[in-house]
Amino acid sequence: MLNRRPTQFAISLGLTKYALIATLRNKNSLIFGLMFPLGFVLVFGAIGGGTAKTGVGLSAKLAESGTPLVRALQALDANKNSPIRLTVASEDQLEIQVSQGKLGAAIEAGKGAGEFTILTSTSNPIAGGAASGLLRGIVDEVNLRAAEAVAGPDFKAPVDIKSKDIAGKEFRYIDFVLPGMIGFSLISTATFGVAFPFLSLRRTLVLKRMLATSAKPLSFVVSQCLSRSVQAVVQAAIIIGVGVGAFHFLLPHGVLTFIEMLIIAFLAISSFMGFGILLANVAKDEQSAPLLINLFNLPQFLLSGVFFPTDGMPRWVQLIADNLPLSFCNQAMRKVATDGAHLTGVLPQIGGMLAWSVIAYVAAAKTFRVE
Amino acid sequence: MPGQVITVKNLVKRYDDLLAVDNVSFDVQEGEVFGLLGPNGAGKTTTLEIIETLKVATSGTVLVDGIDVRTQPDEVKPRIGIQLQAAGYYPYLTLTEILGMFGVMYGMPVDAAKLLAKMNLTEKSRSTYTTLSGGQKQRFSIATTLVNKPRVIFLDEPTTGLDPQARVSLWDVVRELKAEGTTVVLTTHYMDEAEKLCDRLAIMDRGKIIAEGSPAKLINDLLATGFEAQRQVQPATLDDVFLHLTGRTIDA
Repeated sequence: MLNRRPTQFAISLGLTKYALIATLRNKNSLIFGLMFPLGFVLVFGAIGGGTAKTGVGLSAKLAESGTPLVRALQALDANKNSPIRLTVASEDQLEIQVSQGKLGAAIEAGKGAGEFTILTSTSNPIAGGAASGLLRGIVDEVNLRAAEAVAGPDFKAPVDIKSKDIAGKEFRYIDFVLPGMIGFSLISTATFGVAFPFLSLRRTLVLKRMLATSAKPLSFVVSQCLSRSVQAVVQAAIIIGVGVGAFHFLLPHGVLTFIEMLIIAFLAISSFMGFGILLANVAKDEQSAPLLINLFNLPQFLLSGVFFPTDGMPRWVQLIADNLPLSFCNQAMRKVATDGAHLTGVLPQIGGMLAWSVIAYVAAAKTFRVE
Repeated sequence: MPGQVITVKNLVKRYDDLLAVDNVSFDVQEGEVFGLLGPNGAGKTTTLEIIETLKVATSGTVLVDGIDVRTQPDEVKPRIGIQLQAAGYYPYLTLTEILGMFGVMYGMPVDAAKLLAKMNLTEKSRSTYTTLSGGQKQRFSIATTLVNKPRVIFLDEPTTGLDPQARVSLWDVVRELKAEGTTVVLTTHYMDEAEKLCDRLAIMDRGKIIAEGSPAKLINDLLATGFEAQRQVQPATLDDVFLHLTGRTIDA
């Protein structure tokens, strides 16, 4: 009766079952891990539903003139698939809207006949570049046609400018943000979902009571990590499912990509949970925990490419941004989800996650305490 | 040493500048209810936690069932049941599930229904711990100490903060356990409780044991010094009045 000693493996698995039951009943645990990222996916998915159009302004005076350029612009705007959204307003109004970045560029009548001025602003250089490029293209085309009309059908323009469509996957924001949201979900579950229960179990002496039995601290930790991993992987599957179902998120290799994404999710949550436990050990109490968790999470939300790419950042920032724990997860997730890579193609990222795991778990083990 | 479940010899626990337990020795016989009494901060809980393998002694020996708690804590743990002062239980689980979880941690099958029935908690089997009343919480805590069918259970201030009915109901539980042959070690700072429940007790103050024996012996020792109580003992106490008026029922 007394000498029957359970294996720690059996204890870990048994405790995992109960931790999972508790997790499912705790609605709070699902907020950061599932509701937030899913909400973001829905919002950004809705925003990114159509292709973004570039705002182009046309001065009212010029619009009335009915020149070939204006007719070309209006014809383009009338087309449903047009890359521009034409706004007709007074020159003063246009200047304000361009300076505020609401319009990428505006075109006004110049001093002489046939002269035009293209307005752009530093407030929105990207849209400005796109809009002025478009306008110049149209101007060139109109000029070319005019020259043709004058010189007759045999006229040959000195430089042949023709627009060319490059076939490719239409880039939508959802394609970028969905893998990022999985990363968001994983790191939130690993920090909020692990640190808080650890702190609470420690404060209410539940942990001490549990470790007064034959269970070892490691079995307890393993059970917590296993149950969170199951939760995190299921959450990731739901997020991908919503992306595919509602926003036509494209999985390059179908089910295989789906499974590979879930494997990356499992590796990532395993890595992040080391930090979750470490944060629980370092935090004095449940009041100081949110600050520490946000201190860990927020820079990664900003720098790891959760919401926006890090390409445009200064070099030294990129150096940090590319090597954060969440960065490796997001990079691996994007390579698999958008570029169609397989797990063998993201080995450096998996290595990065493993390296962070070692650091996190060693630090967590060194700071572990029951009370 | 047949009959001796716990042997404590020259136990010392020193924190940086505080001598929490100062050369304490006592033993607990099989099947008895042993009380550790004393004011707050006397070292009762520290002494208990060393015996329970939760704290490591600075020096001294503690044997539970003949096993050294310092060298073989993993052999001691399955033999004891522990109720910690103010400890909670895993959140969001029902009482039945928590008992199942303890079964897992001891590697033993658990008859949760039977344990809960024994503690008058059958109707609460599907409730969570946080929804229980104070008395129910303490009775549930005792249920968890019995999961591994231990030789000895430790109850740390099991009646602190309970109303009189709940206290009386808990005393009944302790008496039942004793009748079944379970050895019980409890701490309390209620003298009436110690007098009613304990076969033997030790009084601790500032880390030392200052008296040890049966309640009757300790009282006789005091009377032998010529001590007289300042007031005549009344045939009934206010406790009795309260219980008589409100009914000696369990707060189910």
